[in-house]
Amino acid sequence: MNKYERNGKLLTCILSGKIDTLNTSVLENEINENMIEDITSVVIDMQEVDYISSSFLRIVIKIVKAVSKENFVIKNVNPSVMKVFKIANLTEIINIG
Amino acid sequence: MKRIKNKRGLTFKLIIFIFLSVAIIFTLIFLDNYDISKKMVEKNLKLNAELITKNIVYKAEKILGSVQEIPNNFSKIIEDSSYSEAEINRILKMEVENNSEIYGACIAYEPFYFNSTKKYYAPYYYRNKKEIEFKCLGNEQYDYFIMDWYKIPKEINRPMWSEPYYDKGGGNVIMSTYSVPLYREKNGKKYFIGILTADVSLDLLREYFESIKVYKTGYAFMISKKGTYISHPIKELIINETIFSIADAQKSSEMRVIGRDMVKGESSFADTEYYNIKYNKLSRIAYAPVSLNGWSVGVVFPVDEFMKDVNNLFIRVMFLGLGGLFFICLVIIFISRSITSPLRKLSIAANKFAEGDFDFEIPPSSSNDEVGSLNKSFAHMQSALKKYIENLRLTTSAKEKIESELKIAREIQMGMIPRKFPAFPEKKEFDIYGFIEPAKEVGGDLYDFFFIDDVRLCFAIGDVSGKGTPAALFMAITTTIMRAENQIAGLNTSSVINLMNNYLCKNNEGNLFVTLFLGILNTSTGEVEYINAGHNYPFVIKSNGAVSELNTTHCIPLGISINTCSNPNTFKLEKGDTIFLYTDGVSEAFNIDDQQYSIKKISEILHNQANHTPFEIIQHIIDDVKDFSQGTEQSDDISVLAIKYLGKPLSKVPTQNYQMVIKNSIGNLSSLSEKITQLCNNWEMSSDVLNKVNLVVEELISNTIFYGYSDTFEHDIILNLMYDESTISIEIIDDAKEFNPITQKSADINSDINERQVGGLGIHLVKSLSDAFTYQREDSKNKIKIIIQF
Amino acid sequence: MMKITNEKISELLIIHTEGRLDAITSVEFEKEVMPMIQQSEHPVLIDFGKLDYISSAGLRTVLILAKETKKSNNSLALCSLNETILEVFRISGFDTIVSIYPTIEEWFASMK
Repeated sequence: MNKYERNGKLLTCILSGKIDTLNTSVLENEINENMIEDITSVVIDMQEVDYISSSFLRIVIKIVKAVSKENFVIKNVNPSVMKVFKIANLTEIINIG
Repeated sequence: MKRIKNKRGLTFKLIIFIFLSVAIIFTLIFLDNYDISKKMVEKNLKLNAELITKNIVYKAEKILGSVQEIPNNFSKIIEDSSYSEAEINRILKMEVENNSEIYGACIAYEPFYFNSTKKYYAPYYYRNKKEIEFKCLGNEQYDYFIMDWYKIPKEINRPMWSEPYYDKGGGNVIMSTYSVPLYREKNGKKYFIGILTADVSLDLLREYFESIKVYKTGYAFMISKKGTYISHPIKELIINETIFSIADAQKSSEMRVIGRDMVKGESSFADTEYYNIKYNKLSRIAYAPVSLNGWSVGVVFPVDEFMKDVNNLFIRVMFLGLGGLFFICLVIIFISRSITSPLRKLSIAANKFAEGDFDFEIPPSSSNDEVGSLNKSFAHMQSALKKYIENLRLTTSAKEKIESELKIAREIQMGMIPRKFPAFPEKKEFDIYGFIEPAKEVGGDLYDFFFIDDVRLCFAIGDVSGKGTPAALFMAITTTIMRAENQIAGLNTSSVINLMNNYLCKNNEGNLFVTLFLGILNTSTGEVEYINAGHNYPFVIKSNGAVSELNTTHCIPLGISINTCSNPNTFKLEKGDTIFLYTDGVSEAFNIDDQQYSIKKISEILHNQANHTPFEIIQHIIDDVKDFSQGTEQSDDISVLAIKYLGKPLSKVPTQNYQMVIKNSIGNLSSLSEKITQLCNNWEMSSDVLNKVNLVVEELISNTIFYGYSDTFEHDIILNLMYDESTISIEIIDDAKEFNPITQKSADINSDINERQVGGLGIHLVKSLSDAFTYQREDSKNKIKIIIQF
Repeated sequence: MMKITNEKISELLIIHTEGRLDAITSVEFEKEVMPMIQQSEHPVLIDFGKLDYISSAGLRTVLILAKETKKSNNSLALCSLNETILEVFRISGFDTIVSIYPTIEEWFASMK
């Protein structure tokens, strides 16, 4: 179950489980619903995520384009998920830790 | 009619515009004309009316004048004082007797004039049927001195006509009493003695008025000084009504104004129109006074009658005009039909043309106007296009024939080049990968590799000069001979090359030649023996990253002349070294600025590739070349071959195999993932490898499911997993549309975040996570094989 | 794109070539130059001073022209090749099939 918290202009998403092609569209809807107009910065906590595929990368890129890289942080990424981000060269662009 | 009614049609437009314009012009001219005519008629009318009225007045005056002569004469007689009463009375009687118009006559004397005892003395003779009767008027009840007929003439010293009245006898005769003042002279002075009256019938006047003809329904009438009708076609009005009472009854202010003017004695032709009493028709009236007695004559002219001629003219002109417009319509219809009819035919012909029917006949046009010339141009275009399309069809079908032959030739050619990777999975001493992409036409590039014995791998890369089928055949021959000659173990490279050259030189009419690099790798020692017949110098990448060229040319390309190639060279590949071979399609790839990729660039890229597999190295180079030459058409075949020496192999481990069949529904991905996870756990693989496998499978299969099929049927996707100690290989076979992930340009992972596309990431991930990646299209199926090493 | 001009200097034929010799232009090149070579009874020089690029199709054309001159007991030489083109000839071994001179003058000198 993904959790979402809104604090003023900040949206925090706490994701969990596998994020693959199948459940990406559900995730995208959830994020869209929470990305109301006030939101200017986003934090995604991936502590509980053990697997991502390219469809998640697409969502990430969409978020970056929406709020710009200074306002976007992805944290608590485990090594195998980090590897995917590295291959896609997103670690240079987004604050991922 | 339908064509005319077509609101957008030419005919309709013309009719509307021309018709409206002509109609407007015509109406304006006509109205102006009518206006002028009306004014002319009016002017004429005025003159006429005034003349007619004057004439009537003149006649009326004549009649009245003649009537009033009798009393006037009598007054003269009576003024002659010598007559006695009896004589005067006799004269009075005679007056009545002898004049049929006079119904009665009376002399009313001043008080006590005639007889000093009689105040009132007024002998009166009157007609009663056929007799003349006598009466003496005047008594206290009948005080004639105060009556108008006595008082007024006395005051004004002249004769006067009274207001008209009907005769006393009860008949319908209109009468008026003419009163003449009488005077006698005494001592040089005139003094008033009395009034002589004559009751005169106005019948003559009435007859005259009734005979007056004014147009057809016009008429004349006469009113008295007080406005009372003396003569009028409506007999009931006479005496009974005045012009004012009628004006009131009719609520006509125009009539009242006219009446006032007439009574005042004015003469005019009234400007205003009013509704005449007799017929209630709109009329104009002319009037003039009868100066004799202040009565007035009015002549009524019905507007419709005096305007009749103009109106008739109006109607006539209108009909002519309408007739003319109608005629214009017909002419327009005729002319526009002569234009639109051929145009319509041309339009039909053009539509037929567009449908591909070039033989539809264009109706000939004999006219020399623009329509006719359009027709001729169209016919000319039709025949020219027919010829052109026929030519094109012939050329295209010829071209297609050639192209299909070329396609077949290419398929055969490609079949001869080993493209299955990993080529020797069981051989752990080296890793080999090759890639060829022909240019548009059938190419002449080749690479090949095969074992000539258990240990020695023969490999070669070459480039046939020229393109097209002859080059391809030449290349086929080269490969065949190379394999054949190499079957004879013990031969070394130079003997093989010389044998090949000899064979190729024979029967080489086309003067083709092939550059060839031929090498033999001893897989247990790493030694390579090679001969270079005019081919690009291959690169060697040492495990420490150093890059060098094998820059020896041993002989000229094969197929030119029979000469002996000099002795081969040898060198040793250490563990981790790679040899990289290419053809000039790589180094001479052009970009849009006409610059070459260049050998230098290849060298630069290879510098960083020491730790990469042949697959990765080649992927890198190909990606870079494609990037560089984007926007231009590939002009030459691109071929690359890379061999990495790995050294002595580890002991063999039996491989595990697992196959699954999945239907092409995205919902199946989750169960697939579970199965793979379970399998990998059984094989005791690390979670890192498990994730890689899951990711690769998920990306490739979801790609196939999303983009691979254009129908809605169920399709099978076959997944094969093979596992041995150091590698896991994943094979996916589907019958979707042809899709080679290797040649797909990878997602640009270096572009600015704002320009990053979301597509292509999946394939990029797969390529990055794979240690080897091959693709084949076989039996209308895509076969992808991925190797992950661990 | 390719342009050819020729001149005769005391019966020695010099053919100046400008542009590229690739799969397309080499066909035209062969068509134009072949008759010149066949008609010449004296040594022929092809000046590649203004040649930008040569592909294997161009090499093939040079080979065909060289063979033709050999048939008529004549000689064909090339001169003024730029560094890249010179390298191509060296790698492919074509520098042993046809003589290459650095300049027109040096070829002249060798004629004596």
